[in-house]
Amino acid sequence: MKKAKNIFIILLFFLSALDIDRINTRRGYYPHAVGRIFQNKVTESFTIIRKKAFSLFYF
Amino acid sequence: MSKKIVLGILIVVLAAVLRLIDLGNNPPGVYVDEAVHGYNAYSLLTTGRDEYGNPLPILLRSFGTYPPALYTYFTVPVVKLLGLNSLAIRLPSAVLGILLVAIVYLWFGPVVGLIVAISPGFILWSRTVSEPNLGLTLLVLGTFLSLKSLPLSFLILALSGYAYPAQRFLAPLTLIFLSYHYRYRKHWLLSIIVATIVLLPLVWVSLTPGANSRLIHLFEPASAARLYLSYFSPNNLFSRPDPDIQRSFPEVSIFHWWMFIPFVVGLIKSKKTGILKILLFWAILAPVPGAISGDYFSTLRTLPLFLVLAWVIAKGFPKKAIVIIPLLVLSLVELYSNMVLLKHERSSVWNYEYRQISHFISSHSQDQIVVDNSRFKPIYILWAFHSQVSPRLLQSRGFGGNYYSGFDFPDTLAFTNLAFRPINWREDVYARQYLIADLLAVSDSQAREHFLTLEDVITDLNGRPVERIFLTHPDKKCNVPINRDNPFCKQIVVQ
Repeated sequence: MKKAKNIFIILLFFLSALDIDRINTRRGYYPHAVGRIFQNKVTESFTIIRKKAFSLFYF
Repeated sequence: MSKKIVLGILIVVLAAVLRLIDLGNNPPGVYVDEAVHGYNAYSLLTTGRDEYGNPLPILLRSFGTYPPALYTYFTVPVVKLLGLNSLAIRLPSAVLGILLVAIVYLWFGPVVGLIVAISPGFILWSRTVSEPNLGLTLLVLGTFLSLKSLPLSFLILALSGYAYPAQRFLAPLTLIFLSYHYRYRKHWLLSIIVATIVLLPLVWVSLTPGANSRLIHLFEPASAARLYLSYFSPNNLFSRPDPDIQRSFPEVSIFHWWMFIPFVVGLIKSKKTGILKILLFWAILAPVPGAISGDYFSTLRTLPLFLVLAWVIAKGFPKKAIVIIPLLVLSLVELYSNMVLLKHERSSVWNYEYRQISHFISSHSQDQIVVDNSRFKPIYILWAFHSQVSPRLLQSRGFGGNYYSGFDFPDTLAFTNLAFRPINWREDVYARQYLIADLLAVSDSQAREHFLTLEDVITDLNGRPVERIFLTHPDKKCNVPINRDNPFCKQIVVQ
C-alpha cells in the first residue's frame, strides 16, 4: 500500500511538470486522430521521466 | 534465397524507407550549407566553375568557411537528372546512408545494420546534405574493402579525406593504421602509392589559410578533455539531442533511449570478448576533432564514434524476435512522431521561409529590393538556390588573388536591383524600394516612423510570421518638415 502511494506521488510530481499548452500545440501537427496518440499526458510524462532518468548518467 | 540474404534485403529496404520518404520536404526548407553544395553543383554543371568562377575546386570558398567540395561533385549528376531542388541535393546523402547500412550489415552482421538503419542520428544525417555522412560512408567502405582489395580500399580511404574537415585527421591515420596492419599483404606498396597520389592535392590545399579557417576559428584546446568525455555521456547519446537544433530531431538523440540497456550489456560483453582493433582506434580518435572545436557534443564532427557505439549496442542486443519486433515497432512509431515534430518545429531553422522570399524577389525583378542580412549574412545563397540564379551573375564577383586565402565574407552583396545587407535607416527609407526583414530588424514603431507599408508577411510552416516585406514611401518621409533639408529628399525633388 505504501509502495502504491509512493508511486502515485511520483506520478503526480511528473504530471505537475506537464506543459499542457505544448501538448495541445503539438497535437495540431499530426493528422487529427493520430495527434491524440502521440501528444497526451502519458507520453509527455514518459518523456519527462526519461529525461530526468538520463540526467543521472551525465558527464 | 538464404535467410541471411532476405534479412539483409529487409534491413536495407527499411533503411531506404526511413531515409527516402518525403526526403525533399522533411526537413522543410533548405539549410545554407545544403544550398552551398546544391548551387555550386548547379554552377559546375552549367559553367564548369563554382559560384566564384573557380574551375574544379577542392574546397568551396562559400562564406569563407571552405567546406570540402567532394559532396558537390556527388550532387552534380543528380542535379542534372532532377534539377536544382531539395530532393536532388539530399538524394546522394540518402543513398550513401543506405549504402552505409548495407556495408555495416555485410561487415558486422544484421543487428549492427538494424541499429544503424533505425537510429535517429544516422537517419537525420542521411536525410540532409551532410559532408560527414559522406566521409563516414567512404571511411567504412574503404576499411571494409581492405579485407578484399587493398589498392581499392586505400583509394577510397584517401578520397574520404576530401569529404569533411574532421576526415582530414581520421582518414590519413586510418591509412597509417591499415598500412601497418597489412604490411605483409600483396600490393601493399602499390596501395600506399595510390593513397599518397590521391592525398597530394589535399595536403597542398591543407597548407592554405582557407583550409584552416574553420580550425583557427574554432580551436579551443583548454576545454578539450571535458568535451572529449561528453561524447561518451549516456545522457547525450540516448536522451538529449545535439545542442545545435539543426543537427537533431526534437526530443531524441543519436540512439533510441532503450538502446542504453543493450549498450551497457554490450560494454560488459566487449570487455570479455574484445573489440576489433580498427573500431577501438576510431572510438579513441573520432571524438578528437569535436573535442578541440570548443563546441559541446558536436555530433557531426564525431560520426565514426557512433558507428563503434552501434557495434557495442549490437553486442548487448537480445537476438530474439519476441524482443526485437516490439522494440522495432516502438522505434518506428517514435521516429514517425519525431519526423512530424521536426517538420513543424524546425521549419525556420531549415530556412523554410526563404523559398517564399525568393519567389517574391523573382516576381519583382523590376523593383529595388533590400534583404536585411544583419543576423544571417549568407542568405544570398538561398535566393541563388531557390531562384536558380544564373551562375555567371555570382561569378562576376570574382575571388581576387588566391581562391583559398580569403576568409572574410562581406556584409554587402549587391546586384542591379537587389542587395543583401543590413538596412541603412539613414538612406534606405528615402528611396522607393522593398525592405525584407525579420521581426527584430524592423519593429512596428520603426515601420510607422518611416512610413513603411506592410506588403506581405512570410510565415513558417505553422503560419507564424517570421519575415515581413515593407514598401518604403520616400515622398511621405520627405514631407515631414524635419526631413525636407535631408540631401536624399532633395534628390527626390530633382527626380
